[in-house]
Amino acid sequence: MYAMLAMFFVACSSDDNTSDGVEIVGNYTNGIFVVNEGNFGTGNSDVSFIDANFSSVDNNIFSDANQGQALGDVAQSITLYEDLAFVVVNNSDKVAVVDRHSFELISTVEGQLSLPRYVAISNGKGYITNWDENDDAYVSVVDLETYTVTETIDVDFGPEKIIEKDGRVYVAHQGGFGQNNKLTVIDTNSDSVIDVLEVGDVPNSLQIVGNDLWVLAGGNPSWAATGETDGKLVKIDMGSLEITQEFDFEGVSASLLEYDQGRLYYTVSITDWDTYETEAHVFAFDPNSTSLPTESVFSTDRAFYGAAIKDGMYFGGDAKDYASDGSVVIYDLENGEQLYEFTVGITPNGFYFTE
Amino acid sequence: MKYTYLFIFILLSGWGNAQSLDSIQKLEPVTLWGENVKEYSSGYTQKVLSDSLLQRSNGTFTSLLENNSLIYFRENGLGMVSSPSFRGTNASQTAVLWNGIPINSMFTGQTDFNTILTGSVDELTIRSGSGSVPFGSGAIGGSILLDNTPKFEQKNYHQVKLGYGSFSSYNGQIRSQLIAKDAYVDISLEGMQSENDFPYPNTSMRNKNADFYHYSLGLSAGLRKANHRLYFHSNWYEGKRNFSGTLTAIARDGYRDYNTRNLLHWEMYLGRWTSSLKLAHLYEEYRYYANKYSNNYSFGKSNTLWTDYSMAYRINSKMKLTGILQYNKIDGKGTDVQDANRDTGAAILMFSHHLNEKWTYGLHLRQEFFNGFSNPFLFAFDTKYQLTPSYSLHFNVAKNYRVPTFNDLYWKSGGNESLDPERSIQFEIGNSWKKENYGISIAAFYIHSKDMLKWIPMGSIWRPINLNEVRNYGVEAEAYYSYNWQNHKLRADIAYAYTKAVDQELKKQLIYVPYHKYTASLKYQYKTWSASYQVLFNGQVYTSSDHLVKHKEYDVHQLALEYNYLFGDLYGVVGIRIKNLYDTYYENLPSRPMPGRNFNLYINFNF
Repeated sequence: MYAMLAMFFVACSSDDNTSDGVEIVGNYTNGIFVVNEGNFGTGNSDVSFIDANFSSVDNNIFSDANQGQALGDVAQSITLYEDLAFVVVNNSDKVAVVDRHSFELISTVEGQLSLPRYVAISNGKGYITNWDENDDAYVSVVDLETYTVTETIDVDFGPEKIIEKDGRVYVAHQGGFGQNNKLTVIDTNSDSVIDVLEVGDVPNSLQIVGNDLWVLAGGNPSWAATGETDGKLVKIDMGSLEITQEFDFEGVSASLLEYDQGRLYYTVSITDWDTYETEAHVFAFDPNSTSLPTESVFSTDRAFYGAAIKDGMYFGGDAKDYASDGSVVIYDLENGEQLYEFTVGITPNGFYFTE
Repeated sequence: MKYTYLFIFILLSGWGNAQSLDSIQKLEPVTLWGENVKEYSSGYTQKVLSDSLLQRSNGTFTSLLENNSLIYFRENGLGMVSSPSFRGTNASQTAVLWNGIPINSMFTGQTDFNTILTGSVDELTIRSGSGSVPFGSGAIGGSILLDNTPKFEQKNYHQVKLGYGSFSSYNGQIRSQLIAKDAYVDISLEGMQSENDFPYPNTSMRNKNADFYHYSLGLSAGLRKANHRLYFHSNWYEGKRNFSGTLTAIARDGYRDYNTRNLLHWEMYLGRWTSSLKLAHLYEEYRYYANKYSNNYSFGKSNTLWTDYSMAYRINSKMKLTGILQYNKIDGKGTDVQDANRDTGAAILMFSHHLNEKWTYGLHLRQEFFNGFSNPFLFAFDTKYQLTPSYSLHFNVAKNYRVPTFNDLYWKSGGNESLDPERSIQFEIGNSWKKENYGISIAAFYIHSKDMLKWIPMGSIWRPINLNEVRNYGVEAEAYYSYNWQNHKLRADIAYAYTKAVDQELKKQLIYVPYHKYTASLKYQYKTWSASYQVLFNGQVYTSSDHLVKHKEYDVHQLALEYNYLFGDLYGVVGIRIKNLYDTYYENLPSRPMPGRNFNLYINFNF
């Protein structure tokens, strides 16, 4: 059934060069990029692409599009911007800039990057978070004409996720090699830090809804120097940069804050230390609600290394034994039904959606 | 093509490197622990690397063993962290012993074979298969014994070794043995360093951030009076390495190792009884610098106090019994491991019996105490039958184990204190045919390991659990041939291993275990000149557990030319070695190219 549907769409798109109203410029114009992190030190990372109709998967799209060239060591993330994709390669200290329709390499940002993590684009410039191997963390500012780093902005340790809105970037300090609890706000006109907020221990994800920035902090793990702490979810007014609402978690650690179809989602993973089984529970709530939900909307006992929520679907990246090809499993969030499964590269860690 | 090399080689570098155990000269009735164990090893595959081979070694310990044994090495670039794999097992299932004391790291359970310098070692024994009863934890795949032998009544001896090689590599050693009739002192200072910045063959890239140095000071002394023997062995080591990058990864990290080992050994002979007491202290420390330019580092250090008392009783000319009590206390701490400590007691009983001139067997038992694990009771049985003067059969069966490391138990994010030791049941059957100028030996082995430790991700962290079950089996074959006429000598050696190591859940070969490995060498000597040619082949390995990704097999060749000189009391050897003779591109591990053709010059002075 899906195969037939897919065939139909493929036929359509080859006829009029559009699919769901998106103009098809290249093989990878419309669909989902999957970052396969690979194994540390072995340089076997690459990117997979699942087309928007879920009809097929292309693996190793970077090396296929670039004469077999290896992407690098430990691919971390992708940021899509206009016709470009910025692929952060953590242990190669570089960001590959590719044409996102063909995945052909346009340029490589190198130098003044040290353990880079995520990229945001603001005011026509790229902003890259760097842990720095010496914990002297910074955000690199990249000129998008020359793809060189023009400036670095010193920030507190462990900058991770970065998100852009109205001439500012917001940096969550998950903590890198340790644990941090800060959020740094950078003005991208002056490229200077305008505020640093305490948001809860180990902020792991960011979402923007309207004029609010939502920050999910997972809390410190048991082996942290300070001992285990509970996480929280905070809402920040981006105009006043004040925290306007806080929700506390008790005894559980939440991660993966997602925003889809008007609802915010977060995931709580629970591991049974006797059986070593892990369950992930996805909770959904309205951004205007005054309390956290008590019932999960979706649960899975598959231990996913990376996950995302989009268009009412849950995307899980199963790294299996971390030494073989992983798979991507897609579920209907509503009824929990498994819709698709694709074989991808080694250690799928994240999903990036076109449009 | 590579298979044809097997039959066309002309010369061999390991002149007599595969001496059989039988040919070792016994200098003292019962001496060191190492030799004591060898008396109990007739049913095992053992190989002693000759002195002359150790003398000529001016590369890493990895390259010495890689070329002269069937151990397969995974080396993270030349001179970098190097893990041995014996019969398809992993590095923590290989025990390394220094004068009978296990020296594997308390943190990783392994010995990094690129941090061992062999200049002060008199005898190096490679023992394949079971060894947990005499050697303790980790002797599953095999054991490497580094021993200092007694030197009473030998001559004073001084040696200077110098070597220079490509990529700004230098090595040197000074060793002096001062010997009186009943006392001796043996001091050795050695060092090795390299820029290690070789160009990657067929690319425009170089090996970066890979320079290293290693220094070691060894002291060995002995005293004897009447029926007493007192020995002291000491070793100090410091090494600094930067960890090289790969084809795709930039490296900036550095690593330092510090080790000291001190052992006092008192032996007493009382008629049929031999009493032996050993006290040892071992210190190990590592420092890892994520950025070599920074002062920030993570570390681990441990102190081991070791006591060992053994009593051997020669029941008659055919039977011998030895009882051993051991107690050791280990304290460790580090950035990621806090308050790690372990007390272990062990009781060992070893019995050997020469039933008649042809037939020998041995039975060995071990039980450990105190350390909080569910300690398995270990046994080992071995036997050898000499059918004819030139043909023998041997067999051994044993239960072995490996205890979890401090990292496994106490790693701050994920350590699991409820782990049990890994256990294995294994056997080996072999035969050997030896004549004056040729010999061949073939052995088959089987190892069934259970509860093997594996770190797996659980939620956001990785934890070790007792999970894997693996069956290893295979065949090892070795042969040599020598031919002498007038002033000419010719010797050929070949060794081949076929190894299966099958994960019992996946039913697939483990990753990074080659099915095939062989080494071959041919050596020709004419009067004082000699030339040798050596081949090493490592077969294809899988690098993904679903077998979709493979890493290519390779063969490397080396040629050496040597001249032996003699001026009165001064004698020695001067030589040149050409490694990777055909300048082939190869990687031992993915994305880590090894050097192209490179050179080594060496000269030894002895007097």
